[in-house]
Order: sequence, then structure tokens, then C-alpha cells
Amino acid sequence: MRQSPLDTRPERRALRVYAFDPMLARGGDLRVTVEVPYREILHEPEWFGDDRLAVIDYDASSKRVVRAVRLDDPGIAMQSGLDPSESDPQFHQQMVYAVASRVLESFDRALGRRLSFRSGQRLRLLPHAFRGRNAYYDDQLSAVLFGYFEADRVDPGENLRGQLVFTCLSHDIVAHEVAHAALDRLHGYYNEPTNPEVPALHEGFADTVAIFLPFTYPEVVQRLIRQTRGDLLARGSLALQIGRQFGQASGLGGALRSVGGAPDPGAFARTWEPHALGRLLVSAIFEAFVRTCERRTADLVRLATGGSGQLPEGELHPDLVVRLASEYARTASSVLSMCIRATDYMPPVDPTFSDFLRALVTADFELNRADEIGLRASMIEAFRVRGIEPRAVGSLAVESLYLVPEDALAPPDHEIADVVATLLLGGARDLSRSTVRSPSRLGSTATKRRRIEKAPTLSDWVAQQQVRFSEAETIAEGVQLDEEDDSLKPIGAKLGAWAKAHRQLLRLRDDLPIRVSGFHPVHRVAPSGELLVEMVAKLVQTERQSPTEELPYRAGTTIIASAEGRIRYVIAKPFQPERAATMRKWVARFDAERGPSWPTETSAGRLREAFSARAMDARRLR
Amino acid sequence: MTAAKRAVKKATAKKATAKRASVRASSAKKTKKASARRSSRATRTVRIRMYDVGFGDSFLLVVPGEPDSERPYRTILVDAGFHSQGVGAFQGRELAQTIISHLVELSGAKRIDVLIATHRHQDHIYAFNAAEWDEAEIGEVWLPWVEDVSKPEIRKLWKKHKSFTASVAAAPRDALSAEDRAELEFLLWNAGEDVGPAPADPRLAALYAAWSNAAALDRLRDGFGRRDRREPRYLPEADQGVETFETEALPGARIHVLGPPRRAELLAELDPSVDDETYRAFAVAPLSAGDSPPPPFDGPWIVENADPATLFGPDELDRLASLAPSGDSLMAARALDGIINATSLVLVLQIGKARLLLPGDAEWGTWKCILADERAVALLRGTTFLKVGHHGSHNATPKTLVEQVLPDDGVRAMVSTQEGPGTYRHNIPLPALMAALEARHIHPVRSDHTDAHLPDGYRASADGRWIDLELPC
Repeated sequence: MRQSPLDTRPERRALRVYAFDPMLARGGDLRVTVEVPYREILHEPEWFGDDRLAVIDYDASSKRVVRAVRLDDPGIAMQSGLDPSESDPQFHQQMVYAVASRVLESFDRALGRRLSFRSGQRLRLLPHAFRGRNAYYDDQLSAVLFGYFEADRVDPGENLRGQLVFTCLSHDIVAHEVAHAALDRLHGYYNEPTNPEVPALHEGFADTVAIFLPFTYPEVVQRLIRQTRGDLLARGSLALQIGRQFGQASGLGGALRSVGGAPDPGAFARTWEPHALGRLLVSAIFEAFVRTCERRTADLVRLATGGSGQLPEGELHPDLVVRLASEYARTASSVLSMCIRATDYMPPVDPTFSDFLRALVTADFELNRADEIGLRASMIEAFRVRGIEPRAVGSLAVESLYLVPEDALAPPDHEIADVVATLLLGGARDLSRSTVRSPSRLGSTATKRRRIEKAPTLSDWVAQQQVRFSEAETIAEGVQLDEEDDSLKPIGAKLGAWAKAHRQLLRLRDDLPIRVSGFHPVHRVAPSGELLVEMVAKLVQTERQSPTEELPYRAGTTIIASAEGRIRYVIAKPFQPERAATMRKWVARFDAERGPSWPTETSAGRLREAFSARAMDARRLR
Repeated sequence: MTAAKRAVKKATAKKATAKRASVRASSAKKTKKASARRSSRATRTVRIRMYDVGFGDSFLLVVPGEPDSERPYRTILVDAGFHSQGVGAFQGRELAQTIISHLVELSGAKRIDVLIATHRHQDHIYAFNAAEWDEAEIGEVWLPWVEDVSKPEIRKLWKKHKSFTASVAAAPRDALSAEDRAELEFLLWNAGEDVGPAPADPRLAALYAAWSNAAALDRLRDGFGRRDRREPRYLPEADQGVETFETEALPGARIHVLGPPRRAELLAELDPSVDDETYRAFAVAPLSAGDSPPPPFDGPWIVENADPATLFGPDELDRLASLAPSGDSLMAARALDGIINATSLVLVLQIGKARLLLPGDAEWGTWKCILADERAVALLRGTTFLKVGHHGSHNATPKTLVEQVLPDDGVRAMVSTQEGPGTYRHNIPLPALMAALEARHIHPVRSDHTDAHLPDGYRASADGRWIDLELPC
């Protein structure tokens, strides 16, 4: 629908990437062209980026900058970007940009709003940040740092001995790290390991995104279906494996991990190591996906087999593969959206798997009452067989898993209606200026980057391990805002004032200040065609004296309010003696493993150190 | 933890009976030997001499032998080591020379009846490199069981350790901050790698160049001028919780071995590759020392004269720089340090009514087993002397031990220690631990504070190079 011959802006930008990693793509297969939403790209010699991503190819090990690719160069643009290659660093830049864009697009779609990073900052992607076997998201730099390393000389798997392996070329690693960044943006307090399920959720969530993203590429799904004959849970299925090249290059003799395997109802109760817990979460989600697909495609299989439903030996019919693939891709995209959308229905602090499960079910119910494809039911079942149950909920019947909505007949609250209306205006304005805001230098685009905190008494190494918690809270009284965009500050202040007056409803305490840690509008089109306009707001309180010196003790409430000013959900994580006790038990358990420590300057940070994004990913990747 | 607590509780109940029994036993001995003792000495004592070796351990114990015999005193040497970067009052061969002269002074012979090397860290055994030891006569040598290299699986373990430590030492460390690098080199040197600054004195430097961890271990295994018992005792000799034995070398003494646990799993745990996280980073891709590999891209790919300051703020560049080297090598070195400390002997020497707790550098893993064992806890309750483990570090003296097990009635204590830079040595000795000990009326005397006012019973030498404690037994 061009308005003039001068309007040549495309909708999408096509870019080539490795669907998994260069090791798997060596046969020439498994390279795909993905389409990312077209955004104007700002090109500089040292970096390029759109309005929320910046690819900066700075290597902190050698202190050098690799020239940034010009994706708008006609020669590059007309061939859907550079050809996938391990030896072309500009292709590496293109790949991280493309995959990160796809991840963010999934978030935008699922959340019904454009995810933006704090204060309109760009998320920085450093495809060759350092030499080392790790890749991780650093919230203080708001950057994803990808390492590169030499493949194992003894057991390099399918790689060459000593070959350089780039983590930025593994599709799943890029998606995983960007998902961490996005979740951190949505829930900044989830970097506090207040219970083992918090880091596990971060990991499991990021892995879920990493696994399901390739399912949105039709040619990849078709290939997977041809290979597994529709049985994605089959052993050795590519779909189940994460970090294949990384694992093999590190001498593990296989992928980093695999999500398949028979579910064990006792697993959840027994497990407390966050990575293992995270895997449990991913395997539950993946199994629900597969079961749903099977149900959804049973009719196709029956049609293709003359009603028997038994697939014949040998290759599947290409038409059937295409049809199956499109069903799988649609289901995958539903699963991904469902998981991302769940984050809006989670308490802002100290989440558990139970909170996630209830959020998952409720968020999906809000958008899709009928659950025609049975995805919701499959999810619940897959969680149940792993022993993940909603706590403080009577039975496992679907209804009791739902969060309890507030009284729909209560009179609308005008103040809230006012806040939502202002926010919607602001949001609309925000969408309209979605192109590059400031063509100036990168540093100045970010109005106020979070100051990098460094504990002066610690050595560099310890300081870098101990990623600081969100903030040191010394608010005297009243309300504090996390919002740094000046135009939104008045809304935050209004919201804070409202929250102060409604502490009882929010299950917040009277004697502590309230922090408005985030609020945003949500627009969603329900399958019925109905447009849902809502606001999600997060309010947090911090106890002055934590029961454990290692971790802050916070309460928080997420509210979901409709445009008319009705509070639809109050998702509270109030201060409770049981929570304090659980926290103490968790620290004691941690210490029993590592040895109870005498207090030192660094001992208070030992949980942070163990569960920082960097340490978590380092363990994941080794 | 709960198991340990339970054991502690049960042991409390048994404490009374155990105490009565031990009182009976020692009073019986007393009457029997009373006359003999009077002739040689007014009261029976154990003399514990702590040398100011800087960062390291060396304790000479003189205990009663057979009265009216040729040898009324017996001698025990527990470790003789120091760190080249944490020097105290002794350097080079001085420690060996001093100890040998003290042997003659205190017991009349150049003889060590029992020589104990708690574990293989340099700061505990380095001085055994000195040739002077060949003049000394040795009764027995005690080593932790994981040093019995006649066993192929143990040989294999140490070989693996050696190659892993070497690969950590070979990794480029120029990117680490000065403080972190110093700590890394400190740890690696202690593990036997020849890294870090050499002493300024050229003669000392030449001497140390010839010394090694392996040579010290060799001497402990089968060196010295004369040995009554050729083979070292590798302790404990069986897997049975607390192992108690007596030896001719120390008549009347009972030795209780509390750690390290003699379990096959310990060997598996000592394997550096169990800590997958750190091991993976170094087990592969050996790099030649200091030789940073070339960056992956070069030539036309690089933006010439690019100024990173236009891309990142100054504090961001600092953070990137500190993240880039990834503290892997430091992490690996710390893990290795802990692994070797886990091999440390934990002994209770029972000499008359004195019970000396000598825990080497044992860390939490070992203590966890000990505190879960009722017999061990009962023994620990009778402690009269404590050598504070691992120079007073944060994880070598468990809270439970201090707060619930050690008696609250003035246990004598010594700590061989030296403060130093780096996070590792920064908390040595740990103030919180020292305060907790004080709260239990345990006032550890520090090897590095010889000029401090010492409590009754302790005496520093005139030159401040050692401190003596006379402990009734």
C-alpha cells in the first residue's frame, strides 16, 4: 500500500543465518533466511543498530573494533544479507542482529507492545567480546557478550581440533542470551536468587525461547519433521538439543543438554540445583508442545494414511511434511507467546514455578477462553507429571490453577482509568516515534545508563562476580519510581499515589515505601477479534531488615487493570513468615553444600556470586 | 549439617561418662609414674613451639618420653613450610637449621620421633627441601593416605593435578588486575608451580630455583639420614571413622586420625575435573605462558584507530576489561587450592591429659564428615589445644566446631598466620573467626605477633622468631 513512488520502505528485512550452528550447517543445509521487522538502521564504522539493538564488534581482549557490516549496502541487501560463514566477522554481526531481532519480535507480539529497554537504551550485542567459553548478558552494561574459544584439541567432536568456535554463531546461544536480557527488562528483580526457582526460571525461560524460536522457520521445521517422521521427542532429535557445537567443541562428546527423557513425578521435589530445575521447566513445556502438535495433526495423519493414522515406512510425503510443519510452527509460536505473555501475570519478586504455571494458564485463558487446541491442558499435564504443582491451590483441576480475578462488577476506579488513558496516549506516541531517535553517538543516546557499581574493597574478580542487586533502597518515605523517561514520570507518580492509598488491596505493608518498578499498556487481539486494552503495573516493597543478610527481602504486587479502570488481577507476593523461613532454609541449604561461612566482606554476596547471569551461563556452557 | 548437629547433641550426653573415664585413666597413669617424673621434671608438660614462618606452618612439639631412660623427651615436627611470597622470620635453609638445633637443645639429639606433613602445599612442606634434614634421624613420617603413590590410582590423580595446575599456570594472566594476578600466583606457587617473583637476594633465588614441591615430597617419602620406619604411615589406614593407634615412637600417646576420610570417593572428589566448571576452561587448549593468541580477525576487518571511548563510557570500558579475561584462572587456582587442603590430615594427639587438635588446612568437606561422626565429636570435646586451621581462614574452622563442640574452658590455641593482599589472604586470619574464638575463651596466639602481650603459659623467644607454649599433660 504505497502512498507514493518514493515510498520504498519494506516491511521486513531478509537476512541469512545459521538455523542451529555452523557445525551442523557444514553440509550446506540448515542455513535459513529469516525475515526480521524492517527498522531503519544507523550505520557507523564501529557499530550499527536500530532503535533498540546495537551491534558493537568490540573485542575487550584485544581492544580492537571490527568494522560494522552495512546491511543497507545494496550489494548486501539484495542477496538477503551476507552468506553464512565462520570466517566473515561481519556475517557474525548480521547473525546476532537477525536472531536478536527475531527474539524481540516474539516478545513484541506476545506482549502486545513494543518492548523497549530502559530509558530507550539499546541492548548492546558484542559478537566477539572476549576470548573464553562463555556468553552472557550483563545487566550493568545492558549488553550481551559473546565469547569465542578454541575447540578441544583432544575431543573436538565434529569440529576441527583447535578451531575457533564462536558462540555468536550458535542460534540457540544468541536467542538464549537475548531472552535473558528481555526477561531482565520485564522483571528486574528476577536477578535476585531468593529461592532456587528464580535463577531456574531465568534459565528455563531463556532456553524455552532458544528452543522454540527455530520452530518459527518453516524450512527448519520441515527438515526436523522429515528427520523424525513427526516424532520430535525421539532420541537424538535435533529439536531437543541445546548447544550442540558448543558441547562438542568443549569435549563433552555431545550437546550441552537435551530436554527429552521420561518425566519423573518426584523430580521437582528432589531437585534444587537451578540448572536442573530449569531443564525440568523446559522439558515440561516442550512435552506439552509435542502432545499438542500430535493432537492437532492427528487428522492430517489420518487423511494422509487413508484413515489408519499409521504412517508408512520410509519418507513422508512432501505435501504432508509441509502441512505438518505449518501446524507445528503455529503451535510453537503459540507456546512461545504463551510463555512470554505469562511474564505479565507474575509477581515482581521472588517467583516460583508455581507462579509461572498459574501465570501461564491465566494469561492464556484471558486471551483464549476455549483452548481449542488443548495447549493449556497439555501444559498443565506436563507440569503435573513432573511434580510441578501450583502451591496453595486445592486441586489440579484446570480452574484452580487460574489466578483469581477481582470482582468484575466492582465500580471502576477513576484514578486508574485516568492512569491507563494517559499511558495509552504515551504509548501511542512511543510507537509513532519508533525509528532511530538520536543519530548521535551511541553513548549519548542513552540518557541515563544505570551507573556501574563497584564495591571498592573487593578485588576486580570478586567485583565482577558479584553483580549488584537492583538498587540500594534508602527511600525515606512514600513512593519511588524506576521510570527514567521524563514524559512517563507523572504517570508513575500518579500510580504510586494510588498504590499508597490501596495498600490493603495490594497486600502491601503500611510502614514501608512503595516502589513503582514498572508499568506499561498492553494491547492484544483475542482470537474472538476483541481488542483487549490493559495496563500492567508492578509495585515493590523492601523490608529494611532482611531475615538473611545475603538476600534482600521484598514483597511485590503486579496489578492488571482494564482501560475502564477496573482492577482485573492482583498478583501479590506479600511479606509472609513462611517466605522468610523458606529464604533462610534456602541459604542454609546453600551453605551446607559449600560450608557455612563466617561473615566476611564478600560472604554476603555468595549467593549473588553463585547465581549471577555470568556464573549461571558459565556453568551452563561448560 | 543436621546430621552433624545430631551427633553433637548425642555426644554431649556421652561427654560426662567419657570425661570420667579419661580422668580415671590419667590419674592411674599419674600415680604409676609419679615418682619417675619427679626425678626428671616437676610437672609433665607438652611444649609446643610455633615458628614465625610467615604464611605457612611449622610446629615443634616436645612431649614426655620414657622417664629415666636415655630419651626422657620425644619430638614431633608438624609441617615445615613457608611461602616464598609470605616470608616470616625464616628464609632458605634457616628453618631447617633452627629446628635441628632446637632438637638438640630440647631433647638432646638430632632426632624427630614423628614427622607429620599434613598435606602437600608448599607452605607446609617447602622447608623439607633443605639438605640439612639429612643430618636428622627420623622415627616415623606420617602423611595423608592420598600420598601413597605406590597405588596407581593415586599416582594417576597427582599426575592429573600436575598437568591441570600447569595449564592454569600457563594461561595468560596479563589481563588480570595486579591484585588478582598476585593472588593467582600465590596460589599456584603454593601448589608447586614455579610462578611469581623470585627473591631479590640472588643466593636465595638460586637456592629456591633448585627447590621444588616434588623434591620435598620425595624427601618425606623416603629421604632423611636415618629412619626407624622406612615406609611413611599413610593415614588413616582404613575407612572406619576415627582411627586410633599407638606407636613405639611416642610411648604413652594415643593418636586419633579424624581426617581425611579414607573413602574411594575422596579420590574422585580430588580429581580436578569434578569441578567441571573450572576444569573445562583449562583442561584443554594449553597455551604457552604469557603468549596471548592473536585476535581472530585482522587486516581490513579492523577499524583503524577506533576509539572505544566513543562506544562506551569509561566505567563501562573498565567493566568490559575486567570481564574479558574471565577470572577463570583465578577460579581454577582457588578450586585447586581447596582440593589440596581437602587432603589435609586432621589429628588429635592424646598425650596424658592433653589433647592437641592439629587440623592442618582441612576445609569444610572434611569437617562435615568429622562433625557427623559421634566419636570424633566426643574426642573434639576434650580438646585442650587447638592449632587454628589454615592460618585462620574462613572455611577451615567451622562455626559448629567453635560454637558447639570445643570446650568453653580456656582451650589453648595458636595460629600460624600472616595477613596479606588479595581476597584470599585478605581475610587471614578472619576477624569474625577470631572474635568467635575469643567469645569461647579461646585466645589464639599469632605467629606474626610475637611482640604482643602473651597470655600466661606462652613465651616468645628473645628474637621473636618463635613462641613456646607449655601445656600440662
